[in-house]
Amino acid sequence: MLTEKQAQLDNIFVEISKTLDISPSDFKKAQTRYNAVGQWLEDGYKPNSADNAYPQSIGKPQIYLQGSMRLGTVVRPLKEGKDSDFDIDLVCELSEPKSTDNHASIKEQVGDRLKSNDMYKDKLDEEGKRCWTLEYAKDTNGIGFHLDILPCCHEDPDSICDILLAGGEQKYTEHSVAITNKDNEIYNWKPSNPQGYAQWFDEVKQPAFNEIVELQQNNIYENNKDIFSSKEEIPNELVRTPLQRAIQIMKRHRDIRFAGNAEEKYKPISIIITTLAAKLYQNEEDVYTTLTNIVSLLNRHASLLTSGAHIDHDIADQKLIERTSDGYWYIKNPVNPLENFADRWDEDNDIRARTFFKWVSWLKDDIDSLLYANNLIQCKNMLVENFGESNVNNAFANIGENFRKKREDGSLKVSENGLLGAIGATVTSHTFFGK
Amino acid sequence: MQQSRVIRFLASNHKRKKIISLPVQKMHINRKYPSSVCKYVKKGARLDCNLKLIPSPLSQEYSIILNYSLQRFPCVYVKELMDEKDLPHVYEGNRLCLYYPGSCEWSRNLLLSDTIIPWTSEWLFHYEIWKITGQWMGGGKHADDKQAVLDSAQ
Repeated sequence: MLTEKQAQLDNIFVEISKTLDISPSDFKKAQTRYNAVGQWLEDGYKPNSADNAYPQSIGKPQIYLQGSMRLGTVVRPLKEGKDSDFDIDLVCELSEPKSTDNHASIKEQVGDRLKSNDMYKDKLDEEGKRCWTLEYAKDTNGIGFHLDILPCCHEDPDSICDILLAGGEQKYTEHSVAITNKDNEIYNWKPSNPQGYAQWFDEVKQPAFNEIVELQQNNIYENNKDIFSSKEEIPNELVRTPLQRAIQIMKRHRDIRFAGNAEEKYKPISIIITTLAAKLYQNEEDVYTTLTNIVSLLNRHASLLTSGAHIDHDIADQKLIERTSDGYWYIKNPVNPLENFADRWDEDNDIRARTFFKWVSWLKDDIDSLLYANNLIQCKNMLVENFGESNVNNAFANIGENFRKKREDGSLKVSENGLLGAIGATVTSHTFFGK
Repeated sequence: MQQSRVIRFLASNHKRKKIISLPVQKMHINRKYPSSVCKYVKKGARLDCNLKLIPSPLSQEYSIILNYSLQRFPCVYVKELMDEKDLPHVYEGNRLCLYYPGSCEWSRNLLLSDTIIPWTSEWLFHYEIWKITGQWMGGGKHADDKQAVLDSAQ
């Protein structure tokens, strides 16, 4: 059970995460754009035609969303300390069998298909290591974003076999792909499984999702009737469980605390934060409890930093973060035991590991200290340090607006000592006046 | 004869709602707000109350002064904010404006404990939001128009 202060903090965290999130209307606008790109890419498949964009493919490419937009853990990126445009990640999986050396060609086919469209050619950035990026500038529609398109193909049978033998589950492994990676003009293959990971993440949050989906769909629909014609149109990608909100809060805390810091390049990567949080989620019903539980459990792993140290059995058994006796760290991809998200943690005297645990302890202290603020204004100042000024201000303005609306519809109550909320006598209608 | 009885009957039904006495107001305030201390001043003509309000769990406690006599409207002050300048929704001397003067939102047949005091808590909550964001989110009107100014000069 949350105390009154914790419940208030929970509400504040939810409001802060909303200010970091993509709004339903912006999401819909972005969706229209990326669906159009997807359609263009798909239409490039013209078998038996001279201008087939994918001559070695045996079918249309599969286009699907990946990353934080797909998982519903979107946080507006911070670039040079300022809020920046959203990143949208799209996978373009060609139906071309993987061979030892068609990585460069697969990358090129997708790039060429984009370039053959004048509008996309205009927006295309220089070729990235793994992606092609289309820049959508903020226009009259109000939303700007970077659309990263990741060319890949289905993983080869031998590699899939290896994953299965290492303990990978069939239902995830069957979606494995091979993505192309360019380093100093040399291409090679890297394994990935965005669909499998998204499926795993969906399964983790399914019970919590089922609890809240209807309520949230109603809310989103009520507030966005001009863009959605029915509740059923609201995409699942816009529903937020406490797990997703907690991940948003953690990612933002990381971004703000490391901005301009000497160790910024070693800060925890989002896939690690997301994976560990999801593995630790126990269907908690509110963000505050979700966060504090996750942070507390992660903090207990800090003793791994000391060589030869042991961690308690109950957390060791969960195999979240492992360290071998020769000093290597493991945070395994839940859908591919052969992929280790912490493969660089031992480098530079374990700097990434040390930075990770330092961040966890900051997060723990920052959340705990909020309870000891002398008043709401001091609480706000502490939150600004961790989440950014304009976001926290907007969150509190929205909280104020919600209170006013509650009073207007008769649902604001007051209990003894003046505490406003859901308990007590109804605060009756009145109008503030004065200068 | 019959006509005047009808008129008297109709008149009694249109009788104004009863004005609540100071002792009853005091009783309700003490009962609903345990921190309150009320005393009579000016030979019982005015009730002076001191009470503590905390609008939200993370807020600080505020010391409220409420002065009320039947001849005047209720006056509410916040001890901690007496010296603050440029507060929103206050009258001269930082007296809180909690209701629209030209309306029936407040009248003497209402309990202070059920109107003025909860509205004070709400004012405090929105004061904190205003301090934090620079915006007053509690809604309300300002003394912009002439009629409103006339109404407020009670």
